[in-house]
Amino acid sequence: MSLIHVSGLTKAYGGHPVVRGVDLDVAAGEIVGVLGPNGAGKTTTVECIGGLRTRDAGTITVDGLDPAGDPAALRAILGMQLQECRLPKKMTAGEALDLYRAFYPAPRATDELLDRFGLGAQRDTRFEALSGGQQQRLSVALALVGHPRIAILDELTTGLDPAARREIWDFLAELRADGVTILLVTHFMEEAQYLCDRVAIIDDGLVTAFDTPDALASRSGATQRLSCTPSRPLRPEELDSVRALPGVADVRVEGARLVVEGGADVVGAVVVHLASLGVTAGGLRVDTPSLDDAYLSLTGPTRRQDLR
Amino acid sequence: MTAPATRRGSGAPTPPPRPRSAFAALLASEARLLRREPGVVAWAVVIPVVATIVLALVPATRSPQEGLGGWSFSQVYLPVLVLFTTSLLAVQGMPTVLAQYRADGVLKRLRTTPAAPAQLLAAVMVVLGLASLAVAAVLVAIPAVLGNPPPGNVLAFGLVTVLALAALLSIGALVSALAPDARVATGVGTLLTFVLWFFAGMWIPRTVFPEVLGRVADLTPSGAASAALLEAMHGGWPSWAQVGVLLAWTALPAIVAARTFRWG
Repeated sequence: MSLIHVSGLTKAYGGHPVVRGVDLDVAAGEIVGVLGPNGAGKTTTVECIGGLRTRDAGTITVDGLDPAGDPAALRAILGMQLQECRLPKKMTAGEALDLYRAFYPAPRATDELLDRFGLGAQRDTRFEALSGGQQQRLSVALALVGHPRIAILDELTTGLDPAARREIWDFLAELRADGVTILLVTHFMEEAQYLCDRVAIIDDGLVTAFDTPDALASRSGATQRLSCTPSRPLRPEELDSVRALPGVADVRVEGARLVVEGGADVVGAVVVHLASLGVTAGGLRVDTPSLDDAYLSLTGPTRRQDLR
Repeated sequence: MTAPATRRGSGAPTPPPRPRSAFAALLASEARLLRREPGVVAWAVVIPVVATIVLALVPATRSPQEGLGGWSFSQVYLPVLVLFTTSLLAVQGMPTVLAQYRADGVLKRLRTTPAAPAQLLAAVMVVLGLASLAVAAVLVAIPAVLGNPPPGNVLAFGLVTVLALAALLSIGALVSALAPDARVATGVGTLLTFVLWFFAGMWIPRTVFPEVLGRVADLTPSGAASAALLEAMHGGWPSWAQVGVLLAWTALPAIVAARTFRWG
């Protein structure tokens, strides 16, 4: 039973269709990433789910509630962090959290949230004086004040330095342990790969792929690429024996380096085979297909045509 | 949660005390933010209070004048200064705050919570309204404390002040609703505030307005309020026409504002 169910969602602005039939199912406790180019309809999709926009057609249920029909009940179980939402300039971080606490029946403690988001020293700092990263962390914290069962986070780590981003990821991982279901709109493949159980790629108003990050990556058709410096040069017949290994697509020698390309299991097979020849693989490097490759291949204009 | 387990054997844990209602929290927050605006405090509070003290102390301005129909400047300017603050907070201050909130996504963000953005709108109006009334009360009290005659009909003075405040808040809400961005909201609000000050009698006292100008002023919210407040200084009650003008200026802008206000 999915906690969030979307089917056939459409939304147009001024006759221009932005979302053209999105289907999405999110199970309780899942972290689902929503990836896609700018203007693909990601934010519109999550804002329809969050009850901030009314859909043109399709059905949405969030824990059995229709966001368009029962917004009040939805607000109690859903926390949202929105793109480009700021706070009054002269409100301090602590005051903002205290204010939002008053909106919920059983809120998290202000100090707990300030500590979790590394804002303990900024409790009395006004919003205008916080750094971009601190403002962003405060914004995420506000979405979680009310102990939501579902959190929708739109571009939550945009503009953060890597350390701050990692801290937020850690906190999201803790939320997952609490059973919070998270819908995460992001631009960062790394973020999706690190955090998400499944990733929906939205392009031009449609979900073009929806799977685990690993499955998406392997679906992209990209290959594993292994390179190493053998402890001694390989003889031609030895190179042929590497070529004959299952899953190997290409073998070549580039200077002192041996380069092998092939399928998912190629690395182990090659290393074991080299060992059987009495050769050790020095300076071993493996490039695996990433979500980046999947993203590019799934949102490219030609591929887009294929998928329709 | 650390609920005492012995509580009548019921398994239900005691919920932690809810801090306060959403609206109370928004009110407290807006009041705090208003105090942090030194420009607003200086213009809306310090200047009229100092002006009232000076007018009430200087012999030339506290004595009746032939040209003012036997009134003193101190008395003639009391309604003007009350309307000065009310216009400034309601017609210039409110659109500035709300348009900035809209631009910054503060209103939209509130829509994601169980609190409604309308509650924030109401909190802003209540805080600005209470601040206006508090300043008005101080302005009325100052001359009395300093030995000048108080308004002859304090009840009527208070009633008209409240009616004027409602009309000006309604106009401020309309500007907030229609202005496309924060800059226009502040600009239009400031311009309207100057117009309202003029009709209240800020630059030419209401009692020496030429006939035609007086009739026009009687149809404006600040002009009608100013005349009615002078009447109350005399000990009289506002006319039905003055009350009607103020009620109309309350209802019409509010209706248009309610239909056109954008939250996002």
